[in-house]
Amino acid sequence: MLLIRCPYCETARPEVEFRHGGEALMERPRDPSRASDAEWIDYLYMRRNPKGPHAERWRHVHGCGRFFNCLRDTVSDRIVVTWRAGEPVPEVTDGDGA
Amino acid sequence: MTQPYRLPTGGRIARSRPLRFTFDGRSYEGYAGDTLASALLANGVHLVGRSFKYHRPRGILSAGSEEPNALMTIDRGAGRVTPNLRATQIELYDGLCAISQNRWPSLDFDLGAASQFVSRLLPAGFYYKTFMWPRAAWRRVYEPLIRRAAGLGKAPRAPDPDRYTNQFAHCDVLVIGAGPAGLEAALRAGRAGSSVILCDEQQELGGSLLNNSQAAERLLQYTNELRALPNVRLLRRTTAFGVFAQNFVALAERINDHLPASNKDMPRESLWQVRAERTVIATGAIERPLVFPGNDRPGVMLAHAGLAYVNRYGVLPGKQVVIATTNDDGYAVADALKAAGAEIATIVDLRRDETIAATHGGKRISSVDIRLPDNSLRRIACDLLLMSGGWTPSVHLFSQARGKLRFDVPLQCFVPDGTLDAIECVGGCAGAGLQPSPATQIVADGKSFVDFQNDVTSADIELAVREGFRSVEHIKRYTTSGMATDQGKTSNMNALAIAAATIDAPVGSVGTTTFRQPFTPVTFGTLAGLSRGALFEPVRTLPSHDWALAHGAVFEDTGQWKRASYFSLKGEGMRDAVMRECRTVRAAAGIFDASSLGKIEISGPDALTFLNRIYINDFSRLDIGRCRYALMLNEAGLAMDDGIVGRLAETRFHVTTTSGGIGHVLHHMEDFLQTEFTSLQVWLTDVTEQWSTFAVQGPRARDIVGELTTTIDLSPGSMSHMSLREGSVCDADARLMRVSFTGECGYEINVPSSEGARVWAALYESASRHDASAYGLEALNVLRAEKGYIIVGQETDGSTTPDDLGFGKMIGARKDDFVGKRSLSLAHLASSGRKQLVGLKPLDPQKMLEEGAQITLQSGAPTGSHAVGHVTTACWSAVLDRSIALALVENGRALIGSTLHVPMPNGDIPVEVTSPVFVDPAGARLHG
Amino acid sequence: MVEPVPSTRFTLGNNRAERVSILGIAPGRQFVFRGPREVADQCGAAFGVDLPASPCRANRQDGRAALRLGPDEWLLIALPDDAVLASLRHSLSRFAHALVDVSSSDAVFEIRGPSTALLLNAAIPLDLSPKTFPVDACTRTILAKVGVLLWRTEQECFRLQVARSFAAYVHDVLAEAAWGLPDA
Repeated sequence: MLLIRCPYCETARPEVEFRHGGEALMERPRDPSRASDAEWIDYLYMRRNPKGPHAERWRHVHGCGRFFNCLRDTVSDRIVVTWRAGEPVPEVTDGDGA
Repeated sequence: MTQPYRLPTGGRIARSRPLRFTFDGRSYEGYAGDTLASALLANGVHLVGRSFKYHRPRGILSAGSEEPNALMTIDRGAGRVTPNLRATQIELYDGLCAISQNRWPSLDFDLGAASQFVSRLLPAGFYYKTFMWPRAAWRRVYEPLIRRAAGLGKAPRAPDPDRYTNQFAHCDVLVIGAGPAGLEAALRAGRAGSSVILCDEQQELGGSLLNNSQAAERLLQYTNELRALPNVRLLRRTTAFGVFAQNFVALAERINDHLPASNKDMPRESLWQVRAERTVIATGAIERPLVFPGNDRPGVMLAHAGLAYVNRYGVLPGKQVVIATTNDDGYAVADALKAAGAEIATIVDLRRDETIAATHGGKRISSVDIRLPDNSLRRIACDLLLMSGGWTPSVHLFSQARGKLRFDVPLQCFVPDGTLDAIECVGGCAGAGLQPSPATQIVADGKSFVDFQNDVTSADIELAVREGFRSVEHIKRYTTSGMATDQGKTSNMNALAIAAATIDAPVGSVGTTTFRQPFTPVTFGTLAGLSRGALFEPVRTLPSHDWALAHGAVFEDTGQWKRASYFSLKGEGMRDAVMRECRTVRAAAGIFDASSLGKIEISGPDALTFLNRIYINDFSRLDIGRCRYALMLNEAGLAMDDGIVGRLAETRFHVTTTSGGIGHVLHHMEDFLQTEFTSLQVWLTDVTEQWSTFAVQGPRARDIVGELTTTIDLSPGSMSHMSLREGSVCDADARLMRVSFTGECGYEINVPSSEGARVWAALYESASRHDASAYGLEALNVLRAEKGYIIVGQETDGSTTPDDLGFGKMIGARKDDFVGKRSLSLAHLASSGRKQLVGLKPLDPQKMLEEGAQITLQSGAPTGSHAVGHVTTACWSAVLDRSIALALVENGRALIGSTLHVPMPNGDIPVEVTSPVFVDPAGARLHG
Repeated sequence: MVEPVPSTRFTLGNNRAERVSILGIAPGRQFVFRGPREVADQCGAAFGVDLPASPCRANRQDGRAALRLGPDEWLLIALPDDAVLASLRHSLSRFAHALVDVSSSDAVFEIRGPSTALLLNAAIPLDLSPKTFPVDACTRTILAKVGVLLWRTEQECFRLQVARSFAAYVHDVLAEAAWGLPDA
């Protein structure tokens, strides 16, 4: 079971309290009616699947209820860093995170 | 004489507490403090099992958890039969009943042993090469034969009657292994004030100190000091069996298997899930066997196991002893056995170019042939052969934690290469204090066993290399070396050394196979913990549950909820009950507990804007006190959930979801609120369990509800269909909605759940006075299907658009955007040919359809024909007295009036395509 | 108000009762307040208890309590006959917020005794040592397979809330776990 630091509760919490929310930093077209089919399909379906650090959304659904962002290494499962939704991606220094 | 091999003094056993036990039906005596293995040896029993493949007689090899041979079934009564336990770890208790395994008809006389005489026909990969053809024979002939011939103990068939439990724990330091290194690490951390958990798989703390009669005083000091520290938790009989990501360690604690009669109240085992700031692995090292012909004969034992039996258990495992060793430890063991009264026949030191060429004896060793440096053979009589091929550090847990290993040439084994962030190895498992041991290869004719438990010989490994396998992972799988329940604790290093020598490469370059959890086998009960039986899954009940129990309800599970399927009166069957309930609703009225519906209160100045963006509907003209059926899409434009949106106030709404939908609907709403529509001032509160919800449906619903409220005007002029009022019902605060899921005039009464049971009882009394009754889910399903009302998840399947359901007009045309809107104009959702909701009437009105059945255009369509649709709901309509169905059919609305076909195993069922609304299409009853 | 579940059901009938007891108690009046921080301050002033600004904290005064559940979400608890909650809506009418009566939603347990944290840790993976979860720490979390609200009210006493339909499950899990309490 992973430990994930909730940036709102400001503590590391057990994985069972969280729900995964897919890839982070996906931009919903500001005016969907003006988006081309290709742009909209890109937003709907196209996702990265990197080997290594991956920006993900998680929600502390059985805690404070907030969505937040998380950089997780898909190879080692290490949670590199978590940060609040809407805030800039933090500079990663080794040893950050949960 | 009992216990003829028990020494007159010494050991840590309690001689004042003799215990009786049975092995294969024969009764023996041992002492408290014995293991089953030490007690058997005290009685001179060496033959304890038959080997996996060749059914060779096997004895006790070790004194610990690495034991590959002495696997036992322990019988503790019905449902408490455990196979494949290591005799070296089974604590003796009075009345213990042990049974040997993998022998037929008996341990002494095993017919399967004949296979060892044809063993040249059973080399590595034998199964892969032989049982290939004919294919069907594998399941019927080969597999049953192999399973019977080769195997371990039998899994018990009776349900497990024991309790199991679980414990999450946090500490500063977790120390695994209570040998000298572990004890010292725990003491250091404990004295410094850290919270410490020290676990050890044995019944006593001490590890190798237990085998050292000089260390008893020191051990007592350690354990006394540890016990006195309140910040140190000692877990005996507790195996750390797995290390997972982020230093998460799983421990299995055996709580009462060592006690005579199972204490049925106490759990049998506990799973500890430990989070430590720092983990110290002090799991020691395992002595390596030597690989020589006949090295598996009973009476051949690891040298330090011999030492343990003498010093810890006061048992002399043999009186005439040969010791074969590659290192100086062999001599220390010789001294100890000699001091205990054994005769040391000889010491074969492999460093002096001596070796073992063969062993002799039937079910117990009687002599060995020693090949001397001049190549001559010398036979020496003995009843015990102790061997030491050096030490292999127990790096299992470190390796599971993804610690790197390096090959140590003097020790001829893999040792930890550095430390991990929060995990370090100390003592023997780090390679500290181990005797160097040169590489040894014994080349001789005869079966030299590497993996005792899976019956893998050195010849098998050489054969695998000759056949082209180079990767150790492939050699392992082909020969099955290291794949038994002991995971090769005694065999892996020897197997690697032989493979490396055969390939002619250094051992370090060959690498090692992956170490996997669990370190030793763990019961399923331990892993399941508290989640067994009635606690496997939460059971949620409705406010009317107790009432329903007393009124003939037959329940069905919808998710975690127990809901009444129907109410059986005077022994009615399901169909009669459902039809009666349907007729009662349409003729008088019915009441239904709908409390499992999800409910959300949505408040804030932007609540209306938010709802307009989340649902397809336009709520801009929804007045206070009105409600509306609403459909929610996901961003891909597909139906996700439906419910009722009611406006309580300018900025407050009461919204319902499907019974199972509340979790993902709230998640979906919060997602858009928190990450997309961030400027909106809206807040959501889950009020699912705040409100109990009771539906009253039927022509007399108004009369029934009218008896329960004086504060709400129910007259049609005041409270028409799709109205919402706050007031009181049965003197409870209530939200009353006039809504219908049956096509009848209907109400849904919401009262605080603490009043639910009381209001339901009052509602039933009122209903009874109006010839109404309760109805269950089955009747509801018929009533709503007659009206063509959909159930999300039944008429939708994750690929259904609003237009597919006939809800095209519900979409707020003036809205710029709502979740899913943009997707609806994508080609695959907007093109013709999509499946649309229709009704089906079988031409034979008696013929029932099956839900999920496929639909074809032609009759007698051959297998593989294109299906134009499928049946989503099929039922018997009480009011029409015929079979009806709902279906999704390609271009279905254009096909109304035509005939399609539902192919079934007994022939096609022709059906007429109709509107999905079978009853009261004008809605006169609804608005009445 | 009818209690969600009779208290007697939740007293352990075994010899471990001295070390821990599980008791069903009346939930009192409970409202969820959601809104921006400025309005939360107004709410606290009207309620008579400041709404905590720190995550996972509870404030208490005169039988009233405010538990912070999330950055914009608090649970307000008062005694059954306390009229303050009903008057809050009026006090806050000028401000954007949500105030929802949830008094009937949850069943409430009081778990008390020297082994309380150990017992809860049979099913709750959080670190409940006083250092990391002191008195008046509170949070939503998971107990076995359901979401709960946990609040440490005293060193050896926790208040545990769960949606009422899960009450029997939560009780039964804890009662089962009580048989296996390790030595403290």
